[in-house]
Amino acid sequence: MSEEWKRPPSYLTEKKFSLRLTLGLLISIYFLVVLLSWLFVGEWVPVVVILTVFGFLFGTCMLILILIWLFW
Amino acid sequence: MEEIVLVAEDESRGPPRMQSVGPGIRVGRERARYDIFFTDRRIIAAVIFSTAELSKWDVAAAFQAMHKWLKLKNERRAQFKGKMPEEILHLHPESFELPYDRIQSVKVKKKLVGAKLEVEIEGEEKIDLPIPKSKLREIELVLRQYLPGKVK
Repeated sequence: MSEEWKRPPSYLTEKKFSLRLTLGLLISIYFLVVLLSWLFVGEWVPVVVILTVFGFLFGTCMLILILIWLFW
Repeated sequence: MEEIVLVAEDESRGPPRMQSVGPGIRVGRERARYDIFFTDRRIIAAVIFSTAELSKWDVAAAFQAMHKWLKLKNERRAQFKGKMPEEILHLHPESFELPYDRIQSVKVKKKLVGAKLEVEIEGEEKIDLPIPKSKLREIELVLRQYLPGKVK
């Protein structure tokens, strides 16, 4: 094999969107929000409301991420 | 003499996904499709289709792009027949090689859609090489044979 070799094109070595990292971050934020809201509010009802609203946003983000991951 | 031990043909049903149409044509991250040749010395990713071969009119008309994809894919595969690895490598400017002695580690990853090789090369960034899911086992066996201790 010669010293000079045909290297991969640069677009294959570019930094890529990391689904695992992004999902990990989102899940951490989700649990942090639930925990903080429970700590500050001290009641379960508002927590459930926050959880539902945040869960909806979270679910939408997840769906978008999964679609990007599948089709990008 | 260098010997081809396994050929993993691309199994995609269409050309790389195009993004946006019009004067500012942009294409997605995938810019080429490769057939992968595993020899006893290296991995050769031989281009069967590159988006660089599409004109803006081809991109604008999806059926045109699909037609070109099918035509070029078959033409390229016919060209590979009976060729030596070195000749296959130089058939297209975007084809490339990954010599086994430069590979630091390789991961065979199965994804929800398709599979990929995550190859770490000395002095280079990590690269992701899409591979056909149906050949996953064979590819892993070949890599374990030629890259002992480097397959994760």
